[in-house]
Amino acid sequence: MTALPQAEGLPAPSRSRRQPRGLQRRMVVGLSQLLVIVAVLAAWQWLPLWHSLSAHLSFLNPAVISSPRRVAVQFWNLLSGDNSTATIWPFLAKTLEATGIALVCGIIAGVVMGLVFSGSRYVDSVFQPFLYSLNAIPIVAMIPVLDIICGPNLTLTSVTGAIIVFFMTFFNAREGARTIAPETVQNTTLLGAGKVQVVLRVRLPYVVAWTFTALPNAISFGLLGVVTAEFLSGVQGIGYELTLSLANANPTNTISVAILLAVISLLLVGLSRTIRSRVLHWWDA
Amino acid sequence: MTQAEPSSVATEVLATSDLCYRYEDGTLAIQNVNVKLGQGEVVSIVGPSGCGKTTLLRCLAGIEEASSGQVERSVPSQRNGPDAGTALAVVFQKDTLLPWRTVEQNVAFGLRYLPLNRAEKAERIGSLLRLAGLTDSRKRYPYQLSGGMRRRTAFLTSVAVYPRILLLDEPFSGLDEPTKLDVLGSVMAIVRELDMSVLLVTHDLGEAVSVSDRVYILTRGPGTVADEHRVAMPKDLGLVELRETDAYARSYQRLWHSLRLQISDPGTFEPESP
Repeated sequence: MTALPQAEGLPAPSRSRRQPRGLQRRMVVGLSQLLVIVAVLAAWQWLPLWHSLSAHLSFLNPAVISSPRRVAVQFWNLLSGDNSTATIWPFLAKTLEATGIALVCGIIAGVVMGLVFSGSRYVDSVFQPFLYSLNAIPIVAMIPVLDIICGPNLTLTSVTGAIIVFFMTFFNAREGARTIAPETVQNTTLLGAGKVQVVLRVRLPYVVAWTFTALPNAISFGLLGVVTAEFLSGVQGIGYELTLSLANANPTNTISVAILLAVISLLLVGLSRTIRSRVLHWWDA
Repeated sequence: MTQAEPSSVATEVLATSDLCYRYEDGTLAIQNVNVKLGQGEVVSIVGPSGCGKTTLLRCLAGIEEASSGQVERSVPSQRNGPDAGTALAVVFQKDTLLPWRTVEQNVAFGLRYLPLNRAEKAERIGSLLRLAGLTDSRKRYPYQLSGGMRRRTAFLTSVAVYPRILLLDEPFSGLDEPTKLDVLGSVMAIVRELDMSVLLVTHDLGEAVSVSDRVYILTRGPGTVADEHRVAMPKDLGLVELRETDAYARSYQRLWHSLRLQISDPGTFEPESP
């Protein structure tokens, strides 16, 4: 066999050369991201100390924006309960409990309703305008009404989160079931599957797959809904902790709690993505 | 109309009488179609685009209800015993594999509805995978398969229920010629092994000539049977060798002449004697 002539000056593409280049690119991106974080933290730490600047820009007032150093100390205090600070864990537990209930109820309701609506043109035609109208109502406007109905308790925060999760998963599930080719359903019917089996063995897996794609957003927005309900109703949780911080004019605590929320949200979203890529590996392809 | 070598069918398993289908908007898709399929026979339906080939197949499968006329099936709806199977199955042009199931699981899908025990199911799946050359890919998912392997798997999924009648709706379109011949070869080997009656809808004359016992040519829409041709190809040759024979060339030419009359504007071509 004759080897093909190598163009002068052009390196031969080889696996051994491509891999380090990919690693190098990832390292460059990682270092750049680290630099961005350091720059932001440095600006946050030292710009407010520049009095002539903070005098003109009120948001740079250290009493308003706090500092990374103070936030870091408060963050640790919230987790450990040091320096006679009440720990965040009981509040966090309540928020996560409500978010968990909201996710389970919202997702189950979304999947079931998505299946029903995608399976029946009649049901879809009749109820679609109502669902679009309900979805258009800002959930924040509904929290006082839900407060009257449920009372200021775990039910209120869970229901608020569940409504948000429901609409996100429902619309995805409905669209997912609609992507199934009619031939796929016809083929399974010809192979002997009844209506129930078609729903369970063909439509449901598609719906679940599409629901998983909505999961990262559903988790973030579900958590947001729960915290908002706690914030507005005074139910114990992270939202209530934020209300207390606001009432005490404590920006350090507010920012610490907000960072904690972001970390929790990222962890949950990361977990959902890991589960999704494991369970739905065929979907990612 | 050239009625080339009309045939008599020994044991009919499927027949239509004056079958018509009208779309919801009133357009007539097929008109007074009369086709027959005998036991163990391979029959192709060929015709210009839009002549109603797929509509005819859907009516035969019972997916669409004919506007008038009849479809008569003379095979039992389900058979029991170790050779348990259904009356009819379809291989669609569109990919109907379930992406979350492996090759093996896709092939096994229809078997859960047949009275077979676990060992019988496993034996049937194993032998079909062997015949189609998919044994090594049994644990793969559809996204891990090539186009030809996907078509083979789709075919096995429908064939696993041992249907007496198998309807194929342009199942090899989109495949390159060598892959098509390869898949077609595996498919026909399995069809002969299981003694199925096959009705193939295709726009590919070469495909029709290679595998069919008879070919119906449909007119332009609304489709009706214009011609019926008997095709006698040597069964002992592979599909690649078959294409190099004079018999193949003659049959192809005869069918092409018949089809050309339907593709071209009527009156442009004068019919020649075959």
